[in-house]
Amino acid sequence: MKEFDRILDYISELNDQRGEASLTLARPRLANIARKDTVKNTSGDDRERLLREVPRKEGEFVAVKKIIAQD
Amino acid sequence: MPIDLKKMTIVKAREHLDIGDFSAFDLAMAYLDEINKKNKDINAYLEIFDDVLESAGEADQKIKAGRADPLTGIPIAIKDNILIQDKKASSASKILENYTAPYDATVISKLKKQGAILLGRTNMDEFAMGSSTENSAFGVTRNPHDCNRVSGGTSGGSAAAVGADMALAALGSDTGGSVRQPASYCGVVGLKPTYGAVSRYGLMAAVSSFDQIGPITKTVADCQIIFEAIRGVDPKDGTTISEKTYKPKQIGKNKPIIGIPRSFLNIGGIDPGVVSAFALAEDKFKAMGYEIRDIELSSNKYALPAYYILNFAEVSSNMARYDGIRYGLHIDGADGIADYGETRRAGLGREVIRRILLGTYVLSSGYYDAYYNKANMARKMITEDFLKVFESVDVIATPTAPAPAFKVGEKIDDPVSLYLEDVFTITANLTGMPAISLPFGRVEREGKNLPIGIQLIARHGDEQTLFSAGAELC
Repeated sequence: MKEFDRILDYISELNDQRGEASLTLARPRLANIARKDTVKNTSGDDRERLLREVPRKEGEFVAVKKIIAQD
Repeated sequence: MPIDLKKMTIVKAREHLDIGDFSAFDLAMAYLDEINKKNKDINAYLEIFDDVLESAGEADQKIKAGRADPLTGIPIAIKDNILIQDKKASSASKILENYTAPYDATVISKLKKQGAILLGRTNMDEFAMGSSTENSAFGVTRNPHDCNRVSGGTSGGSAAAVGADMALAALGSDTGGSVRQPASYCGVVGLKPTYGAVSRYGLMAAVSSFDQIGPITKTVADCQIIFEAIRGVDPKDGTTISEKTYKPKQIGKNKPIIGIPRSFLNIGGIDPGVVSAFALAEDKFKAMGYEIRDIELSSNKYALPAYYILNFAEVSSNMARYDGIRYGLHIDGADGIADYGETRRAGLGREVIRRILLGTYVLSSGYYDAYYNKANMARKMITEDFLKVFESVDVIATPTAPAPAFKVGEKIDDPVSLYLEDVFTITANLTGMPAISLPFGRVEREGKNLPIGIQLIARHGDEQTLFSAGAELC
């Protein structure tokens, strides 16, 4: 992908900000947002709708290939 | 009475619907007819919903009962990355081509509650990466003012739908100008609200620290109506803010003071038609009694590289969710790891893959400080620069884009020149400030009159000043 070098060259322009001593790491304004710990949907139709979109499933489970095999 | 879509606005439609000049059903029919005529050439819509007339009927009952809200019966188009329960939502990607949304985005719940008519889902650059809607997996959206040109992007379908009278309004999302630039190309109004003003619950994430949902409309008054309808705190999106979070205070005694970053506009490469439209806008503001001040935004030169580093970085992590396991396309490989590779190779387009690779690179150990951290520092410097400028002005004015709509295919092999399209719009995303694009002036190219957009940026939380100054300009 020849565009890669051009893009990397371009974004490397940032490294030319020499002498900008005032550059310090951004400290974002953060606040904790807590939600009430309550059960919202007990009917199970959320789960049904979500499961409908799963490409490979077995019954009510998402099917995945074995990750750890025994020798 | 006959419905003249060309002259129709939300404000006018509300009056006519409420006094019974025409029904929501009639209005929806008029839009469906227009879509039938135009969409095959423009490709603004990926799908027209099959329950449009049904919801129009429900809206009519609400209107007859005297319970109409501002958006009851108003036909609106929705960008394909915003979830509507039981409708497809593909983000114009093959990987989600057959994905059906399991729930409503908060903005959709709010529109539905008012009885707005959702017409269909609109085309976009895949996962909101691009500037021309050429990165859609389902074909480019063409500009209603010249079919040889792009509609802009990434919300190109939404802007083209409104610009071609195929919707009275639309929702888009804006990560680096994705509402404003297509609005500018298509001759309509587009707003990027203050970061956090509108809930993103149910919006597919592209760059989480930049993304905002915004309205695309024909007038500033309409834009304000949609913004008021969708804004507000949402417990489901922890980044949402209340009207009290920021307390913007105007400096100008009577009218807002407008700042123009003169040296930034003289960098070259800006189309002469855009330069003269901008000069006319400046003259008009002066004639209306606005004070104009020249301002300096020296850190602006870092904005584009910083923006794209952060964009790549956040994209690469947000796109990890498309794994072929929980939803979307699944292609079987030799083992579990190969499943990921095969699925993503088949499902994701060129620009998306390019950004995942670049994002992984800039976040990798050894390059993190040189790229990602530097970009964060630049972002902070730019924000401080803007906050300082806003101590002496109330609004910053620039063109929305450096040129009118370019031709389809013109920049497809030159990603850097496409990235430069965003030079005026990205600072509002880097700083989180609200910005609006206003249609102002035209430029003739090959016999076609192409629209130009003027952008106004305001302090955090000060959309009101954008609406008041914007309404006076156009």
